[in-house]
Amino acid sequence: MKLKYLLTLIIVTLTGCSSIYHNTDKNTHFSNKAIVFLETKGGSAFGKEGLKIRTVNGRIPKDDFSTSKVEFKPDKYKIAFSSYKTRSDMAAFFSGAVPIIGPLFNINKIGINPPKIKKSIFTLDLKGGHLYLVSFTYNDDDEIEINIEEV
Amino acid sequence: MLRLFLLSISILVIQGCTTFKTGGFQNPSFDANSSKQYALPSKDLPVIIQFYTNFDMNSDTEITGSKAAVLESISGAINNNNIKFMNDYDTLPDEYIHIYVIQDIQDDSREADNNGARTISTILNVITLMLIPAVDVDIDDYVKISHIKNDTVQKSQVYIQKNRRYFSILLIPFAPFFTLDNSLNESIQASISEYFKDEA
Repeated sequence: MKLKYLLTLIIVTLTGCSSIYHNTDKNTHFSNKAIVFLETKGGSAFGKEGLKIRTVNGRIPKDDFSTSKVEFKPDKYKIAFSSYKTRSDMAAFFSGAVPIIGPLFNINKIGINPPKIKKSIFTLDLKGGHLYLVSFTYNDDDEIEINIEEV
Repeated sequence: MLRLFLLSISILVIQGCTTFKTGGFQNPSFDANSSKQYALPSKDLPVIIQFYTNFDMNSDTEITGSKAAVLESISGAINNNNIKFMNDYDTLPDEYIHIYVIQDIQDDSREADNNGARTISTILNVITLMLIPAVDVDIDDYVKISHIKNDTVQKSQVYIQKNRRYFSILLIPFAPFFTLDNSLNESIQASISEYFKDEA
């Protein structure tokens, strides 16, 4: 019985490995932070692909960032994106394992053949209270072309 | 063990398959680019919608319906025959209301609230040794409403509503079915109502 509770504690503690905050936090008002959404195609049940933030101002972030949303303190940033592709975890979903085990894995470790990005580094002037959407398409050479728009 | 199991079942039946509001409706200050001396736009203006969800719209039947739910919600809040998605326009009108809806579903490995721990269903999932496959995700709805005239923003505002979705496969028959679309509908209606609250 004790072992089970210990297991619960460990799993719950480890759940949630990536952060959505870069130099800001959940208590900061929206008007004092910029929110960047990263497009994801597909879903975890069938495998998905998308973009993630590799470096900010040339530095690799201390914590892994979320692959769908990152919040920044308003400022100018030089951001490098990378791509990822994951396998389907549909079988695991139906066994009930995903909510527990899924978050324990770094998305880089389960990635398969991430596609090439044509241009991956962008300088963004992020303003407080603004939303930004980073989406992508594939060109004829199967390279990812990133498009960044202010919502 | 049996008591624990029954307790888990009871809590999950209550949670069922429901979406809850988990945070207050956030209404940040007006966009700094907006004019301070704005006049509220008429609801008769054309309404242009854009919708984005970070969970692929084609991968889940519930999400697929979200686009229709967005159109229906906006049509319910603004009585206007000229409400369309941006893709349905060849050229944009000179003056219009632009509504951009973003549904941010936590479908990655990001940390949740409660100091990084996923909420109660994850714990119950473990305690019951996965007899009850249950998941819960945080969802943030962002609704940006702008009045655009001659390519210039007259008034723009973002509204945020936080929700949490509990989902338990085994307990669907007992679930009250307040779905993601229901919560999205509420977020949109509340945002539009707030935007036009000073309307004469």
